[in-house]
Parts: sequence; C-alpha cells; structure tokens
Amino acid sequence: MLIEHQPYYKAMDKEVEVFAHCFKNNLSVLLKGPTGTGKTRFVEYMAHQLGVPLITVACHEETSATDLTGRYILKGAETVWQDGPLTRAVREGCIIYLDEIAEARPDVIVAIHSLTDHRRQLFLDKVPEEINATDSFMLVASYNPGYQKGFKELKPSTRQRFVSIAFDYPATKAEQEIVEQESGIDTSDSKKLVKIASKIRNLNELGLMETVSTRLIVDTAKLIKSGLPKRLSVEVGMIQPLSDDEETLTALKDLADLMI
Amino acid sequence: MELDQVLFKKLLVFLKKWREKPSKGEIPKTIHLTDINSRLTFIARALTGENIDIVAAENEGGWKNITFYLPSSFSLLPSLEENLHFYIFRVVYLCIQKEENLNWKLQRANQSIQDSRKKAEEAAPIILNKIALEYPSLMEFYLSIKPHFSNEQNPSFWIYGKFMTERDVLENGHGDFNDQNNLKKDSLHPSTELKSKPVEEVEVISVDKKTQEDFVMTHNFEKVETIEEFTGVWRGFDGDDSLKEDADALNEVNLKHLVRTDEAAHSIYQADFRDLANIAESADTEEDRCVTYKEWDFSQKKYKSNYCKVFLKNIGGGSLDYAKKCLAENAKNLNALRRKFAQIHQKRRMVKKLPDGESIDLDSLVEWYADLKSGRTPSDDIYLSKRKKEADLAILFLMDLSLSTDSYADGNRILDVEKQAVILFGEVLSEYDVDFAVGGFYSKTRNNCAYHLLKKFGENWESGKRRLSVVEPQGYTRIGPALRHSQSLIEQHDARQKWIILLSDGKPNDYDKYEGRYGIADVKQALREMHERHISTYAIAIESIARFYLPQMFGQNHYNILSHPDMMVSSLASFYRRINFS
Ligand SMILES: Nc1ncnc2c1ncn2[C@@H]1O[C@H](COP(=O)(O)OP(=O)(O)O)[C@@H](O)[C@H]1O
Ligand SMILES: [Mg+2]
Repeated sequence: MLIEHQPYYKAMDKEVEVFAHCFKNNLSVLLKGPTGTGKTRFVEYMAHQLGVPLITVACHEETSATDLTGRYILKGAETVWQDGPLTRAVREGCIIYLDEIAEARPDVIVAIHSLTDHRRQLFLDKVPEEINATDSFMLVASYNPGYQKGFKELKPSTRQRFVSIAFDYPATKAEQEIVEQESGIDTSDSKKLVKIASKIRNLNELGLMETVSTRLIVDTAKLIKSGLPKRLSVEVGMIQPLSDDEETLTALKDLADLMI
Repeated sequence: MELDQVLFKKLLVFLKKWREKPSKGEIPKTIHLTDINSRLTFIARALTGENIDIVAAENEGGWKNITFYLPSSFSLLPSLEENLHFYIFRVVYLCIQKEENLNWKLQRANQSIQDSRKKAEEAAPIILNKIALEYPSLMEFYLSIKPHFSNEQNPSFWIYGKFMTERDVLENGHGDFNDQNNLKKDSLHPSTELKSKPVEEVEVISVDKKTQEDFVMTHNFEKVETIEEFTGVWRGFDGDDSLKEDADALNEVNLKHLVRTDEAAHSIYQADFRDLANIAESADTEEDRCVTYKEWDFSQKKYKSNYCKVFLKNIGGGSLDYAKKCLAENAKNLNALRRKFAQIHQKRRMVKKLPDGESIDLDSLVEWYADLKSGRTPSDDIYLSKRKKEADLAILFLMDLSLSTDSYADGNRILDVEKQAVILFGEVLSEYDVDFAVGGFYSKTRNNCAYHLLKKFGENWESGKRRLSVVEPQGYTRIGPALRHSQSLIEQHDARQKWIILLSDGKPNDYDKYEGRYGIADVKQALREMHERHISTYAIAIESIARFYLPQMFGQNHYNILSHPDMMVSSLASFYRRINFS
C-alpha cells in the first residue's frame, strides 16, 4: 500500500537518518520499544518519505511462516499457490513491517533468515521457488523487550541480523506537542494529560502497573476534544485500560483527580 | 502476672470498652489508615517515583527517608469524605515536602516536639505554594479545612505535621549482633506478633554498653508495624479472651522509651501466646548438611561472601492423607486444571506431515493434490498425530514456610493455599511427565536458614506429597539464600527451560535486619544471578502486602497476586500456557 498523505511524525532523535541509510544499504531494521511509542507511525512516515509501498503484518501467537510466505488454496478443482504478504513485498519491492515479531512462531524467524543477510532471497520450499528481493524491498520488525523476559525473547542470533533503533516515550514537551497535533486540544489540557501520564509511568518503573502509552494519551485527548468531560475522559481513556483491580483503579482516579 | 499488672489490665479494658462505645445515631466519619494504606501508597509512589511506604504515626507524623508517617486514624473533620480527603492532602503535602527536602538535617538535633512542629509550620508556605500551582483543587480543599485547625482541640500540626530527622535507622549498616548464641533460644521463636501502637522515633535508653547500633529495636518496630494480618494468629485460642486483653495492655505500653538489654528485644511485646515453634524443631540436628551462600549488600554495592548458612533438612515420615484430602476437596479445581493442561498440550504436541496418524492434515493434503496436478510425485506424509514430545522443562517450586504464612486470607491459611497449589500443580505435572522439584524455606538469622527439599528432581511424587504434609510455618523469610540454593539445584538439570516459582507473601524479612531495602535488594540480586544463567523466575502470592514487594523484586509480568485463593488454578494454568508457548 502506497502511503499518499504524509503522516505526522515528530522525530525524537536521528532515527529518520538512520532508517534512510539502512534503506540505501539494504539493511534490515529492528524497532525496539514499548507499545504506543510511535514505531508504526514512524514506519509509515518513512515509507512515505522514501516513496515505497508498505505492508504491515501484526504478529501474534499463531502467526506462522506459511502466513507470511503463502500457501496453496483450492480453487474449484485446482490448487493454486497464493503469495503471502512477505512474498509480495519481496517480489514488488515493498517495505514489510512485522509488528511484534517475538510473538510469532519460531518458523517465522527461520523464514526471514535468508532475507536479512547478503543473499536477500526468499525460498518458497513448497512451490518450490527462489525469489531475489527487488531492490526497494526492506524488512522492518518491531519488538517490545522487557515485557516478556523469559517468556518470549528474541534470540541474540536473531537480533544480530538487524540494525536496531530504540523507541521510548517522548520527553514531556515533545509528547505535549504530539498530543496537541493529533487531537487538537489546547496546551493547558495537553500539559495536564502528559503530567498524569508521567506520574503513572513512575508507578510503572516501580513495577506496580502497566504503563500509559502516548497512544492512550492521544485517545484521551480526542475524547476531550469531542466534548466528553475531562475527568471522565481520563478515567475511560487512560485509567481503566491499565488495570482491572479495584484498589489500583481507585488510587489512579485519586491521582488523576488531583491534577485535572 | 503481678497484681498491679492485673489491675492495670482490668482498668485498661474497662476504659477501652467505655471509650469505644459509639454514640447512637452517629454517622461514621472516622477514616482508618489501614483501610486506605495501599491506595495512599500508590499515590505517594506515583508522585515521587520512589518506593515510599506509609506507616502509622504516633500523632501527626511526617516523613523520613522513604517512609511517610500518617495518623493511624482521623476524624477531626465533619464528614467521612473530608477525612479521607485529608489523608490524600497529607500524602501530596509530604511528597512535596520531601521533594523540597524540608526536614531536620542533623542526626540527633536536640529538638523538642514543639520545635519540630514549629519548623514544620514555618515551612508550610513553600509547600502550599507548590500545591496551589500544581494541584489547584487540593489548594481549595486546604483553604476549606484550615479554619478547623486553629484552636487548642484541633491544633494546626495536624495539617502541617512535624519535622523529623531524616536519618532512617533502617538504612544504616547492620552488624553481626545476630550471633545465635547471643540470643536466648526462646526468643528466637516469637510465637505471636502483635501490632503494637506505632512509634516512629525511638529513644534508646541503653543499659548495656552497646550503643553502636539500634537495630534490635529498629527491627522490632518495623515488624510490629508491618505484620498486617495477624488475624490468623488469634485462631489458636478460641474462647480465650485474655489474649485480646493482653493485646490491649501491650498496646498501652509506650514503646517510645525502650530499654535495651542483651536479650532479644522483641520478647517485650511478643508474648508467648502460643507454642508453635517447637514443631519440627527437633529436626535441627547437627547432621543437617550445611552450605553457605553470599549475600548482597546494597549499601556497599558488594557481596558478603559466605554470609548465610543454609541447612538442608531432611524430613521423614508424613502420610499421603493430607494430599489425598487436598485432592479430594479440590476435585473440581483439579479437573479444571487437567482440562487446561489437556488443551495446552494438545496444541503443543500436534505433529504434522506424518506417514500415518489419527487424522488427515488438510494443508498437506492440498499440497499433495497440487503436486499430483502438476505432475510431480506427491509426498504421502499427510497425517496429523498428537504425538508425545518430551517437555523440555524443569520447574522448581519454592515455598515460603515462614510464620507469616500462618496468617489467614479469606479464611484460608496462606501455607495451606501454598501447599494446595503445589499439590494440584504437581499432580498434573507428574501426569504429563514434566520434571519438577519442591523446596521450602524459613530462616532464623543468616546463620540458620533452613531449606527442606520436599521433592527432588526425578524423584517420585508420592514421597513429595508425604513430606509436604509435615511442614508447618516457622521462622522468618530470608528469601535470598533460599533462591540461591534453589538455583544450585535446578542448574544441574539439563532441561532447556528452567523455572523457579516462588510462593510466598512476598515480603523478605529476617530477624537480623534482612528487611526493608536491604532484603529487597538482595532478592533482586539473587534473581539477577539466575537470569544470567538463563533460569527464569515467577512469583505467586495471595493478596497481602505482596502487592508492594513482588513488583520491586520480580518486575512486571513475572508475578501474580491472587485476590482469592480460588484464582490459584487459573493463575497456574495461564502461567503454564505462557511457558509452553515460548
Ligand atoms: N513521535 C511521534 N510522532 C507522532 N505521533 C506519535 C509519536 N509517538 C506516538 N505518537 C502517537 O501515538 C500513537 C501510537 O503510536 P504507534 O506508532 O501506533 O505506536 P507503536 O507502533 O509503537 O505501538 C500514534 O497513533 C500517534 O498518535
Ligand atoms: Mg514471611
């Protein structure tokens, strides 16, 4: 899919440059960082900047290599091969974005191996066919470290196949700007929302709870913008999504009420 | 008991009853700190970003290092709502006061309580300014309650608190006072722990020459203030009212002036109400094998090598009745767990592309057909089977056997819930041929940490179930050495995935200052050592103070706090699902 309008993306550091150079040098990129820190938005922005179509795959527990490369399907009395998203990207020279790659089954990692080194080839063993990647093909994956230590980690040998860019929640000022840009609320409100978020992030650092992503703040701001009362917006947009525990929720509401 | 003591007690009980009688038709407006402590702790931690603990103050309270002291109950404002809000106000106030570092600086300034209150009031404008700026609604609240605190009955120190000396006794070094022979044998086994009335600053009147450290009494005051659920302890005494009365009498003891002797100070307020300690104590023989482990000292940022002695205990005897009864009583839970396991394993063990099997694999069949059509020889391996694959997994359950597991949550004794969890999970794991071990631990100072290997890896489950029936709560909770010993056991296992699961109330403590930040830091360090060796860890606790301790040690996603023991099964199952899919 070609991205027509330039998405809004506020650069945090030198990530735009890094990404552009990786593209030029046919290197794969791994975006590391917690959810809602703008990784997806960044890839969309870069795809637009580079003028390359983007294919996004959200990986989950059941995502297998077949889902990416393709499978035979029955068509009438015939069986026909159908390319998966990865195969299409390789053939047509797109950027493929594998979101949350650590969630996928291990055979996915095996399937992309030959694409992440000098070969830049995809091997379809079922057809069988060997496809050389078109020049503008680029593999981008995202990964949320920390959140699943011991459960689902990316092996060091896999990580070594990527250039890595770290994402984190933006600094206060930048985050306010993003919230204002994305929702259209005014500065005094965006300030308050970002402040509440920063306090909740303190709790996250102490391991007490899920964290508030920029995404949640933006969503809350949108609710406020469209006219829902502020406290209610904060409660449903920023607090309820974080926990199901009564006591925790009460404390978070106390906290938000102090600030808005 | 001496006559004067008896009289004192009688008088006290009388006064107490008289005092507590609520007048008719009155709407309750008192807020008790214990009821909102964890709510306030959340707020304090969010605002400061530090692991603040909130404890009851003698009176108005203040802050000291990472502890906030607040009144143990409050009812001076006209409504319940306002009294609750008062607490929130005080917490925010203290957060800012701490941020501005407004407190006594000197170690032992010769300040009187009047000075401390005066200083606090003088500092108020700075704090209130910030409140007005950052929390305008709170400022409105302050202005609305201010008029209430301007007379003798309601002095203003309730709003502003008092200055305290910053030094936190807990953070000071800790010595080797804990040599076992220094302590009278009996006092090592406190059989009950009462929550005594709070005391935040203790003057020590030293009768011996040791003035170098005040950790004995420190230790005590921390313990008496934080043992949350002592309800279980009352259980042994049905019908005996004297306990409550003793407790009242003890509560009246003013802990502010302590006399220190060489005896363990906690015998002062931990009276011998019960004699649980002797159970299994006879097993403490010299034959127990002993290993030593290092311990992490966070203030020095280094290990103390060979610091903890872990005695490996062997328990014999025990019967299968306990486990049988447990399994029978939990038949429903057991079946639920079995079903969940069946689901998990079904997925895991599905093997495709076999020359024969129970059913046909559609994907392979489509390929077979495609090959045929395109003139190639199709592979006949088109079957599915639920073959048994060896689970490449070893689990060690580490059970906290300390006295705090003798308390009750929802009518269930914590240790029984722990045992129940291990028995149910163990039962199903053994049915699925997953190798596991069970260890149990308690401690009485670093020189005497006990580790029961209740089931070894590879050993049959029957013997494990027998041993489980015997263990009873005792001692304290020195988690570090227990983890390190567990690590040494599981390390020898050749499974690819290794997990240690800690079942406890989550709070490290031991008689010789293994608590507060020190204990937590050591546990964290022990966990770090394990992760380096690719051993994963997980903790499960019944709702309690664990909420504030487990996250600090285990990190997010690596602990589960159950609000009810019934959640144990689903929690174990979802944990197991997670390890199986990784
Ligand atoms: N740097 C940024 N520039 C613009 N918007 C951002 C930025 N960071 C976060 N956002 C906002 O947060 C939302 C979530 O970001 P997203 O890219 O979906 O996060 P991720 O892919 O990391 O989970 C976006 O829709 C956008 O509104
Ligand atoms: Mg304990």
